[in-house]
Amino acid sequence: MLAWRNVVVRYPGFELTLDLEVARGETLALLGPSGSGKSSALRVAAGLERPSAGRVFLGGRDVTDLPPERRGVGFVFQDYALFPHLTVEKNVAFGLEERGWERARIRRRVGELLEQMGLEAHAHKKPEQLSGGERQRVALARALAPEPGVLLLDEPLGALDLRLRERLLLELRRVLAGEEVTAVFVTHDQTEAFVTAERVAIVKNGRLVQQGAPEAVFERPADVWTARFLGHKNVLAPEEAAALGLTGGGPRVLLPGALRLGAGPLEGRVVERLFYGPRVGLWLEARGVRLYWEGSAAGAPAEGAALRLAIDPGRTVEVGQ
Amino acid sequence: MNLPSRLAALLVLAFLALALLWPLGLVIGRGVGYGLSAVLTDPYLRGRLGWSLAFGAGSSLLVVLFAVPLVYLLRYRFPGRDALVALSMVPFVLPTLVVATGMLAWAGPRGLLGLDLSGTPWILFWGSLLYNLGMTLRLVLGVLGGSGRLVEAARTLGAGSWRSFWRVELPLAAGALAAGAGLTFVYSFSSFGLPLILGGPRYATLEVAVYRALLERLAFGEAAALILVQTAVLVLVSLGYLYAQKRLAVRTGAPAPPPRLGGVRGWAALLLVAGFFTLLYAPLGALVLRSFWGPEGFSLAGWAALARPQASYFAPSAGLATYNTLRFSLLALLVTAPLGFAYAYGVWKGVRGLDLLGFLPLLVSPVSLAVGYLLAYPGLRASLLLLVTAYALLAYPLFARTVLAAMRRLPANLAEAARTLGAGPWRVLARVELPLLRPALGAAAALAAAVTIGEFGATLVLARPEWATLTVAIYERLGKPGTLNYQEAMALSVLLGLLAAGVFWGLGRGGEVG
Repeated sequence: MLAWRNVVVRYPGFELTLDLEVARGETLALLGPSGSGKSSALRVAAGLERPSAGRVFLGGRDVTDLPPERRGVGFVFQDYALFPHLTVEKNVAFGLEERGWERARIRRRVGELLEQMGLEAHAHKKPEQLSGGERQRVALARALAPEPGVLLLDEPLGALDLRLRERLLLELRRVLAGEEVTAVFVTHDQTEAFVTAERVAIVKNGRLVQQGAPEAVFERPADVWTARFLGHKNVLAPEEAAALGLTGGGPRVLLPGALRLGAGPLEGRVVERLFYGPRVGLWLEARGVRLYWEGSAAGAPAEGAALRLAIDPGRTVEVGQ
Repeated sequence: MNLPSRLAALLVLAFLALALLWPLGLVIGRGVGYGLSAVLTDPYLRGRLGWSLAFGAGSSLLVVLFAVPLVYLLRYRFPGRDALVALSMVPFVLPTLVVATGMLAWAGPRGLLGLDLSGTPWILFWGSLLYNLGMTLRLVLGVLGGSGRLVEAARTLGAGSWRSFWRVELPLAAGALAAGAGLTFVYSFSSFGLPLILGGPRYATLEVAVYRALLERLAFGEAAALILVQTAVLVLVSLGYLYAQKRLAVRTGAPAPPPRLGGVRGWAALLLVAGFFTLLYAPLGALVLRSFWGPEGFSLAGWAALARPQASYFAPSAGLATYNTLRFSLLALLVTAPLGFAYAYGVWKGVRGLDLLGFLPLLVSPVSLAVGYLLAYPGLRASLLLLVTAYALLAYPLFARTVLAAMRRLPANLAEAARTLGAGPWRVLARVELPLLRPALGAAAALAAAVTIGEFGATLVLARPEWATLTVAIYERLGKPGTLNYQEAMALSVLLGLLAAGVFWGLGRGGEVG
């Protein structure tokens, strides 16, 4: 449905190269730290930026030379970019009017979206009268209104606080599934990507380092950097792995569940105990290696306690440098 | 609101009461006494009102008509674009008298254009457009600088370049465009130098009629009644302006770089805009050329005449006029700076009602003000105090606006942080706020100085012959026959223009003025 073919975007001191395809109806997350070039990829797809080289295809058609208004994509901006001089209703209707829809049809579609997003009460308000979450929903409704073939979302939840993010994340997931739209969204938050996307593509310094289903990517990170970026805490250097008796020459990641407390060949000590509420995190030290364990607070040892532990080699995976 | 801001407000109020309200009140009282009906039944005076309104409205219409297509082009990035935007601001700091002599050199009786437009409304409209267009462009481009994301959003929703301009940018710029049109109306409606020199009796504005009634016919009551009519119109327009600003104001985001117009289209845009400005600013070029042009071609006679000693008590030498101009501007700055800073500080710290009061001096024409001073303080006529006060009153709102814009850009929590660290409001002002505002203060002083250097109306009414400034000297030379006097007036105008622009860019480096 959407493809970047050998796309290159150059800035002074930065270059993004990308060759990637998104299937019809698929939700893809472009995941990477800030400055990795993921937003540029999105802007190139929308026609807001021209690539220095390569082509962009939408629905099999080469759209590289088309301006944004002729590509028929939906775009949700990080700061929403709602038109401050128009009401919520008029913002949502904007794209429909540009496409020359009939009035009655516009009214129907706008009403449908406002209802779906729970915005009926705000139809006649201006964007500045809305809360952050409401603005985010208006931006989503506006982008979805013209029934775009592809929906592009640039850090759609980036400007919201944590609590609101969690709620809207679920909403976003439901909407993307319900509209059966092909969606690409850019985020730096791996949880957001994992929860929402069917496929995750990880970008680092303008290069695609890994892609695949969220669980596959999480369980088999390509290298040390990716493992850390995806939230793995037990990423061991080869010497550390050897010290703990794990064989194999490369760096090794302990997946969740690899570490068992209470019995086993290793002697360790609790260095820090972090109480999060539903779970507790322990930073341990064993044979000079720092290890992290997370689990139920019930029965978890106290700070400073000595304990025995075991590593299940089946739950470890060797990764690249 | 803290103690310093209250003291600042008090200072401004006291100054306004003495320098504005009392003298103007006296004039208006006289005007009411003379009778509005006398003005409104006199066909000549009624004509002045009609023409002033038409000149104001026509000028704002022209400014809007030219500003919209220019903004459409200037919102793109193309070769030379930034230089053109900077260039468009030049006339705003030029004294009106320089624009007037420029128009004379271009389209006057001996003009370079070869077509004598003096005594027609067209030369006045041209001058007004030249003077006001840049200011409006600056206001509009300032607002649109923050709408980059919104245009991108419109583009992804299917609006092309023209459609997004029409549906998003133009509505967003409506407030700025209305502000530009409103200010253009105010400046043109009450303009003095341009119609005095170029308009003849038919196209004299109310302001010119006030001056003539006073100086040529000594008809004080009539002048006062005309001032009353003029002030009433200006008050109405300003109220409309404030209302429009509230209605049309929209907040846009952070400035974003304008989209690029590549290849041939970029060069075409450059050619179009540069060509337009070349034609619009041709009078300024004509002024410079004319100052080097005698009856027999190239001649330095006009410039050489600047070195002549004083011909008579009523004909000031160029040297004396330059000295007076700089002296008065500097003296005025000593009043303008503390006053303007006090005003900006009071408004910034939230003294209620002060922001509206600060508008008042913009409503008063310099000639009316000077008339009020003569009426209210006859005993001070022989001192420079009246002149300096008039300069300060006219300049401090501009000073304050520049400083206030910078104050509002300061993060609020800086002062709060200093307070929690133990600094009282005076200490915060001295240790945090003033140091951060220093560049803006320089720019504000430059703007105020440039404005007072070119002041004409109040100076003409208040100045004694030995106080003649450059503007008064130019007017005196223009009033005398002979090509040498004409050429000398041109040379003096170039000098005045260079002085005003030089002070503005030299002192403030032009950048900080918002």
